[in-house]
Amino acid sequence: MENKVEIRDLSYRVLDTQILQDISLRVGKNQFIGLIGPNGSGKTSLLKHIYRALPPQKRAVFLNGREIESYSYREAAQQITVMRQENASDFDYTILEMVLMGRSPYRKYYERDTEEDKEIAQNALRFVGMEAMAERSFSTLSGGEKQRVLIARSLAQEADILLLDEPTNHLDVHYQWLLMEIISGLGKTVLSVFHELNLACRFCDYLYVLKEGRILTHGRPASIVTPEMLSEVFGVRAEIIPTDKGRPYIIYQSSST
Amino acid sequence: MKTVQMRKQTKRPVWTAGILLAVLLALFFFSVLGGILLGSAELTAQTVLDVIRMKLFGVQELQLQRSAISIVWELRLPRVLLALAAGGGLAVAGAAMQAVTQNVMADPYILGASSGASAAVAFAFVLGGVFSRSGALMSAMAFAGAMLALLLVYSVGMVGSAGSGSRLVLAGMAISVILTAATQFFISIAPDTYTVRNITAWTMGSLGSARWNTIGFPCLAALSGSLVLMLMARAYNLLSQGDETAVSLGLDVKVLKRLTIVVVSFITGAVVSVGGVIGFIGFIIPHVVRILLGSDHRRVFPFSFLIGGLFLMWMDVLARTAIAPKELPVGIFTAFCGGPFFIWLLYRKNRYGKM
Repeated sequence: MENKVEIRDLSYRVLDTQILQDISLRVGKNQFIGLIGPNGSGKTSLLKHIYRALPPQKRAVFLNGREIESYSYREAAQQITVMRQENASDFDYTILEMVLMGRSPYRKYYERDTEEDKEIAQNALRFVGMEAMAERSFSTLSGGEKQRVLIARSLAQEADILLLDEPTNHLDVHYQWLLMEIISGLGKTVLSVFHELNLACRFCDYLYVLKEGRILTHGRPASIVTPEMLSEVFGVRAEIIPTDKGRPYIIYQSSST
Repeated sequence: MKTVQMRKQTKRPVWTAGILLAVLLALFFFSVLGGILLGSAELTAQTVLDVIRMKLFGVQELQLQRSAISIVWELRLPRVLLALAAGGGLAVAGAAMQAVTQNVMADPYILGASSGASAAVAFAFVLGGVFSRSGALMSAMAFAGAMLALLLVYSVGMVGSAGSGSRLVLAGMAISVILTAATQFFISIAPDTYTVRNITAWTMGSLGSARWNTIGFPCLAALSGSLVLMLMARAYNLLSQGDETAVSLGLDVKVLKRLTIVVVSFITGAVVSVGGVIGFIGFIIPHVVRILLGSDHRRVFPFSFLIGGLFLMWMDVLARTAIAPKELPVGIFTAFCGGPFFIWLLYRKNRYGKM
């Protein structure tokens, strides 16, 4: 299978703390891959190395088989889009303005938004059910609505690879599922960080488990999500019920420590 | 019910910007005339128009007095033009700093660029000789001072959690205190009272030294600097969303930050070298524009330029008419407006959690 993203022996340390140690992983075309692990295990740092929010180590991250450092930021943004939790900003834009920012990788900084850009933005908003609110101010939206706008922005970016850093973390159950269904329905290549393990088991084809900056194990959810792994990595006692779709479902019982 | 609610929350229809632009351009025109007309020496509107006609189109009006010609053409017109360019430039520089630091409290004055430039200018005065006489050399010193201060503030304020807003403002205040002390040091070791008076006037901000031969460089710097920022406006939208989001949308954040520091220092240095420290314009104006038109920097930059220029020009009219014939430093008036504005914003932020 064609590798969209590949990481080879990535290590990253800040002062005396080893954040990532010898990480290698592969994301094939149109795969939906999950990263799970306890707090501070390095999931977010790993994603940040892919979209270069952290200074990249040379010849460790590859995009379509080419080193990430040989891409300009603009070129990389045409390939990769990132969805994160929305962070509060003092600058208030309209919803349409927010989504149109997704078109920036395709425009020079002095160019105006074209009719095509506006159409793509409107389509993206329609896809997440927000097209009627295009002129509303972003700051007046609820958490779930904001997240849907950010998804629309990522869609407008028209990239093949989606990096998700727990974009559903602060949402209620309905929106968590809705957003994951939307993303999964796109059929694109996805690498996503999950906190909610049942969500990960339901949507991912393949999981990588991180602990203390290392990849502890990886595999299909049904083969690696076991009571032993949950106890060792997350420190919980749990029972696994296989669902009819062959995906594991976790019932938490207690913290095993 | 639902549509009514939605329409209420719909903000900023496109025509707001159009109407505002027309009003501002009209205001600009009348302000130039008003700015020339008002001052300690009484002039009539007719005289002002006659002088401008004479100078621009060579129409000779015999009844014009030599003194009127000189006041209108040699003193007030260059001063008005400098105020418009300097106010505009400072406002755009402020808007850019705010986007780069993702902090709406930032501006060249609050982040120490102005104090850096003025300390450098004070140093030039004390050195004397060619340094205090060459406008170009003084501008270069002011530019270097502004840039050094910004780099210092940036490196102190950005340590630790990236882009912590209040930390940056505090760093700016700390560096400003040090640089102001440096300026005062230069004042106290100044060789003569003439130099002391010069530096002191400088630190309070005044456009009184505007003449045709002194305004060329600062006006050009403010205009060209603002133009560069306007051409990059889309990138500032991305950066205002935070460094990491900006990177993920394809922006080379480091390059844009460097560019901003250079351009902001260039504008601030040029303005300070001729007008001294004029604070708070880069802070107030972008706020007003964002409240009126939203945050898109493709609108924020040009409108900040227009409104900033008008604001400084009228503040300058106030400075020279308030207790005429004595003239007050214009920096006092901008600070009088800026301080309360700052407090009001803090209050608003506390109350509504946003600015």
